[in-house]
Amino acid sequence: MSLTVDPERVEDALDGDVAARDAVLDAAMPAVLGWCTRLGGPRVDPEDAAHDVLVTALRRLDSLRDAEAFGSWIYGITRRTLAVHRRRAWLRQWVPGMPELVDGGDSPLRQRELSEIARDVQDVLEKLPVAQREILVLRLVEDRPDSEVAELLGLPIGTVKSRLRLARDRFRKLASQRGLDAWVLPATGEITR
Amino acid sequence: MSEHDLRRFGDETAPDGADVQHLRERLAEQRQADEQAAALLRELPSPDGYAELRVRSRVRATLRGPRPSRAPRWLAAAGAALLLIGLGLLLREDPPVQGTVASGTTEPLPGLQLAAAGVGQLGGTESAPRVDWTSGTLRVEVEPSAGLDVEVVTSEARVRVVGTVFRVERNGLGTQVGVTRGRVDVHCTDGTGHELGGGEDAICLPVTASGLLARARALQGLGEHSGAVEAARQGASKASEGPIATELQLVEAQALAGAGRRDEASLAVEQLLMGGAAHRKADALRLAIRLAGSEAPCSAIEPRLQTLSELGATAAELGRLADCVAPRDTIRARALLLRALDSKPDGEEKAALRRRLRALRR
Repeated sequence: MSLTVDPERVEDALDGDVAARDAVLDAAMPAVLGWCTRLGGPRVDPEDAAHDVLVTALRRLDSLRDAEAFGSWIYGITRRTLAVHRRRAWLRQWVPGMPELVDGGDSPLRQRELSEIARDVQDVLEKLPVAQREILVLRLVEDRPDSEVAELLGLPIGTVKSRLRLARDRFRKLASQRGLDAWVLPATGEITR
Repeated sequence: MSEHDLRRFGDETAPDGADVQHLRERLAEQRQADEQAAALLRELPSPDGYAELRVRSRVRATLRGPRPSRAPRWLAAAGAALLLIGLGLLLREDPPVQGTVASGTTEPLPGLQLAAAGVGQLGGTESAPRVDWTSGTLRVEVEPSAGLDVEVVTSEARVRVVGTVFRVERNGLGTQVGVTRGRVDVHCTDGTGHELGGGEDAICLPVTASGLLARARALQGLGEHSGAVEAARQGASKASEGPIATELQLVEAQALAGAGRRDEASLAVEQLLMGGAAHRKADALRLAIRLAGSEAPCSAIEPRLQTLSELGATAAELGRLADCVAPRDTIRARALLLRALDSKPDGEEKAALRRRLRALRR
């Protein structure tokens, strides 16, 4: 699931080639949508956030210096966009007249029933710092190798490993406090009810 | 290094079986922890099968549209500053209001109701209206939510209120303020102040000579003679001469007489007559005669009755003067009685005058 893009397609997209632009869009779409869904938290509409990320990325393709670094470049945009959306979502609850986006809101994705355990996991994840949250998602949910996570986040591999250990321990502790460990069978790692 | 040495080195550095086992257990624990965490994390929501399609079409639609212009930050800051200045000017602008407050109920401004029975003038601004109340009763109702800073001003008082119902009555006694609801701050012109709550009232006394004269007369009319004396004396201290001073002296003397303080009243009226009493001489003379009593000897009252007859005496006064004159000058006494009859006295008095006239003819 490595994020790469053909440098020539980037050049063509910059020259106004719609097909090349769509190719860039297609390359980034699954990863961006996944990040926005898992890292946005319960108050952010992932499709709105993904739309903003991709529009920003395609409009600012000229700032991509090295096509090899497309992954970390677009991850940086995603991280900043999500921060903006999270701030907006936080403000929305204090500004009168602004409808608060909650689970089951307008987004078709949100309309999908989230399981009770999914909500609990999301709540636990929200309690972690952003740095730990993103490393857990990239490493354990998306199964990206340490090297790719390091590249996306712009960190040394050692830092990724140590941060992952800290994040995992904290996550397990918080999950245990929430009673989520009862859902996990240690021998198989499967989840049962 | 010989083969023997290598073998020896290998034996010496070979891991202990227990250590290997411990390491394996730790690695297994870590893997298990990762699996457990991953198993939970995989429960996180993931995009549905159509999310990509929806986002893609939205992105394409956005990119087809015009690109939003990005104004420089300094421009945005300048715009915000201008907006703030404009807002400040807008807020500072407070149009003046003007009008007459006549009898009736009006709502000159939203949140301000005036129920008047008298005369006044509306001024000030839309946020801080001011009613200059001249006379009569004014009921003021200010909605607390209207944000108005209402002031009612009379010669005696300044009543400031933000949200309440109160009544201001200006009459001869002064300015009376009664609060129905809320709290008001009353500042009297004489320097006193009152904080009034619902059901409470206060009065601000006049401070000018004319105002105190009006108060003295009003109290006199209410039979409160002592209060009238006090008000008249206060007024006299502010008006040493002139028609108002004369009026105040007369009211003082009348009020003293009404309070039964005969000697003080006589002294006051004598002082008034010594000063000339100007346009109130007839009233002063009458009071002096009245204070002398009905049994007073003619020597005491005749000169005053004489002066009074020249100024315009009543039938009774002319009759009394005739009684004093008759022993020494019947013709003049008869002339006085005929003058008294000409002044059209009432039936009983007329009959009495005729009887006295007939007696003089005899």
